Amino acid sequence: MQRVFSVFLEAGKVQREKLAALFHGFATDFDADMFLSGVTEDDTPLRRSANSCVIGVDPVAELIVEKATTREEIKDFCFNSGLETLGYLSYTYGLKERGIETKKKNTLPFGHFRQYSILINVNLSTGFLECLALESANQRTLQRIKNLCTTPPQRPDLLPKNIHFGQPAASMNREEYIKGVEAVLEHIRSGDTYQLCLSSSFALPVPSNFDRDKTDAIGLFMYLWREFPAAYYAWFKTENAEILSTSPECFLRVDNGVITSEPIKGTLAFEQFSEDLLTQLSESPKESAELSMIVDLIRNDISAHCEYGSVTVDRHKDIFIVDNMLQMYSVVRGLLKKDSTCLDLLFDAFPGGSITGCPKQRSMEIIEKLEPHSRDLYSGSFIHIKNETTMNSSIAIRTGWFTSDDSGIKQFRYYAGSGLVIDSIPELEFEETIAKAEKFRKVLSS
Amino acid sequence: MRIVLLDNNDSFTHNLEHLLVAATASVPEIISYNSNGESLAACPFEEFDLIVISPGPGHPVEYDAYSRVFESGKPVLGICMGMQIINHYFGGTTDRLPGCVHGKTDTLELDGEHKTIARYHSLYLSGIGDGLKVTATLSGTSIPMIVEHNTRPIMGLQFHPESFLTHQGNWYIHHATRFFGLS
Repeated sequence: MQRVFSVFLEAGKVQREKLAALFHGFATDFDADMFLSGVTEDDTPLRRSANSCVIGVDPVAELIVEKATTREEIKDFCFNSGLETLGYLSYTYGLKERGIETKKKNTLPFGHFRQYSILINVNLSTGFLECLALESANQRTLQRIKNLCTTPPQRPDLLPKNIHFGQPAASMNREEYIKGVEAVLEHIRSGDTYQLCLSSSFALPVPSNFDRDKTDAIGLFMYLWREFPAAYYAWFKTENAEILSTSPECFLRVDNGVITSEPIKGTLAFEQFSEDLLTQLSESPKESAELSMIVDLIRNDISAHCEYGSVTVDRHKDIFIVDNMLQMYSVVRGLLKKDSTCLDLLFDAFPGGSITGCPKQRSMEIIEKLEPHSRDLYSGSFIHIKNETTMNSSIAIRTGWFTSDDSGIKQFRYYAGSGLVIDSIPELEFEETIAKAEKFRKVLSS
Repeated sequence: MRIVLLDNNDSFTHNLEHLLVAATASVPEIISYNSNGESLAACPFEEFDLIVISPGPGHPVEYDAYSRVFESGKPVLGICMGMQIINHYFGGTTDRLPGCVHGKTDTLELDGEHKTIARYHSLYLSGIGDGLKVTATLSGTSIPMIVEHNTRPIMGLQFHPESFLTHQGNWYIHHATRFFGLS
């Protein structure tokens, strides 16, 4: 790919609105897929920034992952052309790879990857935007993209007007979720699992006038990006579905063979921030144990493809803020083994331990029995692959998608879960899932 | 030293693999128990100097393919479920631990010394198997943390030396290999 043009956009928080309008334009005018980080130092002073956005326009190749698709086919697709790849793998793909049978119905393909003739990179901290393209790229499209970047559009009203969503229907109501938590606690007492993430799914019927002009779903996504900064936003279209991922969680990042994972465990929701809350979270034995278990699990999962002696834990129990919640995390690092690729690492570590539990195999078997819904893409990963030794991936939490069923009625489906350990209090765990689900409900029901 | 690491479908096995490499400079061969332990029937245990049994979920009665391991006469080190499997083989009992602990550190008492270790266990050795003796307990309790066989090269650790929460995990591997006469 060759650089076609580059521009410096104004950087910083004040420009978030303009950038939202620009990205909105990429999606509405060019049908782009977008992996947007949304975090700068201004947004989250407690955490270093994750600031790079990548946008794909005009796909030249795609791979829809089905039951029969092999790891080799995915690797060939991602590595053979020399092009960068954007896409996702669903949690259901992880079930299949681990030999756990499921009869639940999925709405999305197991996975979907694309490569593009035009790729746009934006660094949010510096404001640097560059547009790369294949020689064969459509010159008119490139010119139109350039025009859009140099004279950004008027800021559109992102949230749709006069559209009223109803109340979401949960796959497990309070009573059922609490019953599920109690079943998990019994499994913990028996030693089947030490920690398990139990989720609930929420289905929201969509009013018939929503997205008539194909701008409401992307408008909602850009509104969330603008108002609720998080490091791993993704907008991606797949068969009959528009996916909005607003995840704050890194799964695996590999940069020239240097692996980083940042598992998040331990949550404290608040109305008003105070320093005391930080201590309250980091000194909680329950939240600390939750995180420590997942750190050991992630160490294990990356170790399969790490050089011996290279796996380390940094910043254990560090804290950042997202959506009025404190989240505790740690940084696990390692060096990719010679002869292993970043996708070998990803496949063997998938799905991410922070949303399964530990030990992973048996925890996933228990989840499959206790959750009445299919997780589908929820708690899978969005993945940006550059080459054999460089990629970035999220844990697809705080994620939802619009779909149409046979009668044409649109539905928005989203999920929230909570990590359960022996000290868990069932009622509080239910409250935690509701707090995590609020991001979508509040905006849609306002 | 040739080491075989038997994996009870656990999520800490590769941590243990890396710890074994750091402590012994030998890369272990990993064999997975999978659903029924079939792979253990085919393993040439006589070719190895040390057999390590990994942690794992559930109760030791679920793991009934381990007889060949003990019949081999080779040194056996069992971690967590691995220790419970050893105890079970020698006729001991394993029950639910009141106030079970996962992902937390605690203190172990060994020869009058206190050491920080990581605990992940719902179950504990409620009755010690024939020929086994407890050589370390959780500080201030009688909960077994290390067991050794009186006459055979067999040792079990209830805690997790491979966890990042355990201080000086290597030390416990060396403690075992010294006991086995391998170092």
